[in-house]
Amino acid sequence: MGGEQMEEIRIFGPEHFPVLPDREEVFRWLGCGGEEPCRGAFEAQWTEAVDCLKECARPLAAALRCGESTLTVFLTLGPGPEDRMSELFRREEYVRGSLLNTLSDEMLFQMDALSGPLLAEMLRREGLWAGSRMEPGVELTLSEQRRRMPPVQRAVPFAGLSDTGVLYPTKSMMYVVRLSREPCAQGLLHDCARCAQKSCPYRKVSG
Amino acid sequence: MAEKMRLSAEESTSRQQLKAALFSGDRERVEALIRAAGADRAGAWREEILGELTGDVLAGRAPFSRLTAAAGAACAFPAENLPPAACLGSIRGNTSPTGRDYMRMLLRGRGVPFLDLGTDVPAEKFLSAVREQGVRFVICTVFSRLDFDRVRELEESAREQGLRDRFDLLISGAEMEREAGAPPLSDCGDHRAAAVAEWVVNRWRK
Repeated sequence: MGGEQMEEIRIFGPEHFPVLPDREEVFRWLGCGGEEPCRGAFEAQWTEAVDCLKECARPLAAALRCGESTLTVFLTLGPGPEDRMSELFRREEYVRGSLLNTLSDEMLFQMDALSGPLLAEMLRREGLWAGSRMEPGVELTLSEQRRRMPPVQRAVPFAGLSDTGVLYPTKSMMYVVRLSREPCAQGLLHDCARCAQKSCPYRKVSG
Repeated sequence: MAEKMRLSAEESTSRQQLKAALFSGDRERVEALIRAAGADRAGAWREEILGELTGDVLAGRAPFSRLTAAAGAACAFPAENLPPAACLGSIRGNTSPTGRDYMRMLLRGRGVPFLDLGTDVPAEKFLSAVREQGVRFVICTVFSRLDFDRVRELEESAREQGLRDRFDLLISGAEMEREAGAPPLSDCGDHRAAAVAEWVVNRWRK
């Protein structure tokens, strides 16, 4: 994949990613079933935490096409959610902070799902198809991720990759899609079974 | 004898009430129960209750969110004015504050005094806290596999400076498979935040 030139950048802004949390999914991720004694504490903070997310998140997806061979995708909620979460934890408002953290994660997963059709349509107009999705830590090496970061940073100035491979802002994800001129199954969606983060609390498959 | 039994039953009820208030994240109720039972007695119950809950969380019998609610309600116990026992921060390279935030919560909920060094913290800053503030526990939060190399560098630097015997080194965050035969990097041996915090609490109380 070396030696490619970034040719086109397309930004999808907040209008494509409304804050519409799936309440039951968020409570499922938190392990807060109806019988759980702390459920009421989390329910009591729901409205404030959602409002907080609406206020501090700046969702955007940046798609950077490298010729006709690959597409780099960077999704982020911006630095607002993690800053606000830390502030809430400093104020000992752990339930609201934790709820904001989970809401942010759920929104990032929603963005991933919502951006798939947007990107597929963008590619279709150019006569391109998305082949396989390369995930960090699996097919996408850290050196390759580093190589692709400068153009991402030109499009999203607050984004970055630490030297130990941690993306920032924290609520961000990055992947690369192989492109094809030949019609193929659109490989734009995340597949938990192929993800390197085996201990992810939101993993939808076992093993 | 009857009076003793009555007191014991009352105590058991109060302890149960404290447990229910903690688990439901009811800070005001916890405050009222501390006033009624006295800070020392209620503090001892808090230790038992949160210790048991941590065990349940680690065994998968209770969700981490219950520990979150309980830690928040436990902040009703006033923080003691003690020198910091622990310092915590995300190791240089880890720019995420999330693990650090949860570790703050777990320590504050148990009354452990700590220094928060922030995120993306260089090794020397942790070691300065050992040298200058006398902290006994260094807690590094990590996110990626490469963050462990940074913790390893911290440990080597501590050895070179003759500081390694002065503190326990703990890692909270991503799981990592060790090479066969390699010594564990963390003195706790478990990278889960709840396990690390419990380990610190138990040693600090001793």
